[in-house]
Amino acid sequence: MDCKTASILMMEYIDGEIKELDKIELFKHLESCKDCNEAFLLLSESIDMIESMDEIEPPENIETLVMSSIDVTKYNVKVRIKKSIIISSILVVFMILGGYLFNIILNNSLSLKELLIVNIVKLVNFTVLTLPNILAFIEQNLALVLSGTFIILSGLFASTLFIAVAEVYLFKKFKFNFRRS
Amino acid sequence: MNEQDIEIVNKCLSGDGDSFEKLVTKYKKKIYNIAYRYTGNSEDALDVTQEVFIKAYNSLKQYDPKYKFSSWILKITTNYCLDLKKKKKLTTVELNIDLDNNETSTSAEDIYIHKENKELIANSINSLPDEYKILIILFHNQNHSYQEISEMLQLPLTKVKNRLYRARNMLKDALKNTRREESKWTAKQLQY
Repeated sequence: MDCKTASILMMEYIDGEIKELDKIELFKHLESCKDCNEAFLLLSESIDMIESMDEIEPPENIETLVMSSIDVTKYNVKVRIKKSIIISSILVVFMILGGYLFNIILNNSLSLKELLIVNIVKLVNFTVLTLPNILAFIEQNLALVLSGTFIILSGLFASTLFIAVAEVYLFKKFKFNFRRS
Repeated sequence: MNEQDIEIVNKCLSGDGDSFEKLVTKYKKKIYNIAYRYTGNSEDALDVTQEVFIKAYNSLKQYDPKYKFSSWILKITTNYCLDLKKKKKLTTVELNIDLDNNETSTSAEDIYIHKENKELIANSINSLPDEYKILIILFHNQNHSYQEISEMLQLPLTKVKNRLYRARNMLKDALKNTRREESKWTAKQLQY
């Protein structure tokens, strides 16, 4: 037997897949070949050592660490839709407010602080002066006010729903997640 | 009765994320041990274990039930370990071998020689390239079959076998060289 065949048989021996006859041949070769004998001993020794390495106990808090780092509601569609609707509602309100403020800022030469004061004063004035008029108007044109409110709310609801659906879709499609992914 | 892995995965996917804890409990030891053998220290091993579970949870939808869950999560572990080294996040990657293990040898000299050998073997294993080192850990330390490793590393069975053969041969050569160097060194010391 040559050393190359012996080397292959050594592997089969380590795997426990060696045939009985091959095993006899291998050991015969090992007795006569010093290099292969040395290699075999070294190899067996190292493999034995790796196999006998004790298992290490992991820290006890792994579960807590992992569970606090994952979003347990990630695959809960109901919770995700609820979350999305809340987030989207906030987004819609901010978009409307943002648009309104942006418009005011663009059309004014005052500083932001001045604008804020002016607008608060305007709002208070408007509420105090026009609220009774508004109430009277609502009283007189109830149908018109109700339908107007309904249209505005529907618009808000539709845009909120659209953003929520888009977010759930993004989450599904691209694993988009507000928390860590 | 123990719940099957696939049942737990399905529970998680249908919204019960808390069930994932059962999988963490079941596989933490195995993953931690591979990570520990690979990274060489408990701090990095803990990080790897945590990251592997987080990755597994976040990509649970990609799990294909026709394979074992254990193979899938160990695939994530091995990939993560190999990537970690590529990113050079780990400065030293050493196979940690407990040198203070209780020995049955009687004399102090025997214990010393045994410790020396252990160190020698540990150094030789550490000198292996990562792809080979991970094979040695999975096959010889974690007792995975060729088939399981093939699934984990997504390599053909023959390639796994060949690589492991090569890994063992490299180990053998490394040991041989280290021993030769050591004996030269001892001979030189004796001359003085």
